[in-house]
Amino acid sequence: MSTQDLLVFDNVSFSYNEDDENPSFAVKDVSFSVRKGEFLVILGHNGSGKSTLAKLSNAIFIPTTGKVFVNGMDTSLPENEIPVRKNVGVVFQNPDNQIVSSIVEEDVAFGPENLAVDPKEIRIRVDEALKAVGMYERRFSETHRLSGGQKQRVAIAGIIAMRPGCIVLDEPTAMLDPKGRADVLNTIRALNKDHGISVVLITHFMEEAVYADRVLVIDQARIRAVGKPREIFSQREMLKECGLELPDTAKLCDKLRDRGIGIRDDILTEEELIAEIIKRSGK
Amino acid sequence: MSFIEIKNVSFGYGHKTPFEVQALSDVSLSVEKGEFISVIGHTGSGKSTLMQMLNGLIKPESGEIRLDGKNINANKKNISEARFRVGLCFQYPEYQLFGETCYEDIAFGPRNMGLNEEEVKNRVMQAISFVRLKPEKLQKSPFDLSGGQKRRCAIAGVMAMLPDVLILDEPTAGLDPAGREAILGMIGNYHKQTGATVIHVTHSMEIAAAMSERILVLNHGTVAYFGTPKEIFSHGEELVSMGLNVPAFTKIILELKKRGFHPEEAYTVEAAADQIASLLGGGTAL
Repeated sequence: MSTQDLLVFDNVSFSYNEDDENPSFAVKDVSFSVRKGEFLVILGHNGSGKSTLAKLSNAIFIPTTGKVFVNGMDTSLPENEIPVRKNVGVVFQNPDNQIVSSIVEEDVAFGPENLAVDPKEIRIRVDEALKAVGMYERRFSETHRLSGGQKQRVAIAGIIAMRPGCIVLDEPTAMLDPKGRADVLNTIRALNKDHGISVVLITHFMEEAVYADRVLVIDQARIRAVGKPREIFSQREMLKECGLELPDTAKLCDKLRDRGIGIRDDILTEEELIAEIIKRSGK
Repeated sequence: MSFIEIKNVSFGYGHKTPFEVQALSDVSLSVEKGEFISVIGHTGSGKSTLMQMLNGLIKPESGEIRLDGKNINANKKNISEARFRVGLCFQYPEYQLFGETCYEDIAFGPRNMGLNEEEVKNRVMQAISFVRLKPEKLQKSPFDLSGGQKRRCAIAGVMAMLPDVLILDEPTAGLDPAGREAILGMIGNYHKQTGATVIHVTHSMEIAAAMSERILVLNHGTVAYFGTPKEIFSHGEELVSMGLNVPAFTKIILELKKRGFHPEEAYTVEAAADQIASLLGGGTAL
């Protein structure tokens, strides 16, 4: 384990029915680590164990066997629970289940208040966090009047205000409209790039994996593949077996190859495809 | 006369409170029998309110809704007829499963329609064939199914009433790619086999472009556009200003136009590939 590793899963298995004669495992023999400042995307079909991983990452669940370490702290030790949660914050899918206060800035202050942060310091952190997610102008708004995307950004601000080294987001855009989705994704990318926060993004949208540093594919409770987005999305058979697909641009490239256009097979973004078309057309 | 006619419908929440919201303002549109319609719009654009009105769960404050020529809110008989003829499947319908077994859950609708047990059974079997749920699952508790199966069971409960109009509010939300594909395939099947009208709310421009004959765009409680995918996605800038977008494939085509190419418009992956292939001097699909 390197000192650069913020979050480490060491041979982790987790069962919801460990006392049964034949326990079934939601997570089985999983080992990986998240480096400082890394953007890691986890892909996998429904029921593959992704959400269980999220809950194992900050001591909501404790591994049945194996260990999870946050900044070197073993999450299974009760005395580590609070420091672990200070370091790794989790944002879930449904924005309505994560808002606790009726006013935006009070909601964001809830986390640091629970950590007994000094009130003056809370003021500073709340303002910073709201600016980071682009919700500072709405700090006095009532939370129930916000759109889904705005609520998700407030939930993310609530996590940032605890100053974690790592944020884990479990399908944060599944319930959002296109603008809400784009706003939340831009926020997540900015936190990673500009504030150096490590991000673990769990998603069903392949497009969201394109800009990751690394992608982890989970299939039936186990890690099926790890690699850079290009490496992962070049394994078309593996993706299909795992119930996944290609990002839209790569799908379009496959269709071009069907039409006899020998286009490179590692194109993932719109910009790359357009550059390739311009190059090939000789314009 | 169209199959569904929505005439000057308005509705607001929280009247006489500081939180008053006008969910729909003077909405008029009509839908023909057997059409496949997608509805897109930002959060709070009025999509869910309009969908709930179509089977009488919400009454318009002004205006009227006609189904097959009858005002659905005219009397009790019309409302209950609309409830059976218009099947409404909410977002995350698996949260509404309640039956002790899948069979009981799916049979609830047809039983309420007053069908006898023989007919109810036929309806249940037909519904599970639409959603490809195996018959051996019928005796299981719906709560023992996987996430994807739960959703299929819940959708089967609506399809078992064989509604003339099937409305689905974001039926693929939260599903993985294979699950999305499977659910959309089932909806397509139902549409083809029964000839029913399908109204489908989605946040995915790609799905709306690929599946629909017409797309309804709602914006702040009013109809912004209602037309073919071609008509709708020619308003790219306006859609973005409404918190929506054009399909990813259309974006690439539009960008190529800016760079001095002259592709025709395209909204689906196949059409976009045809256009780009012809720009590059390639052929059509092998």
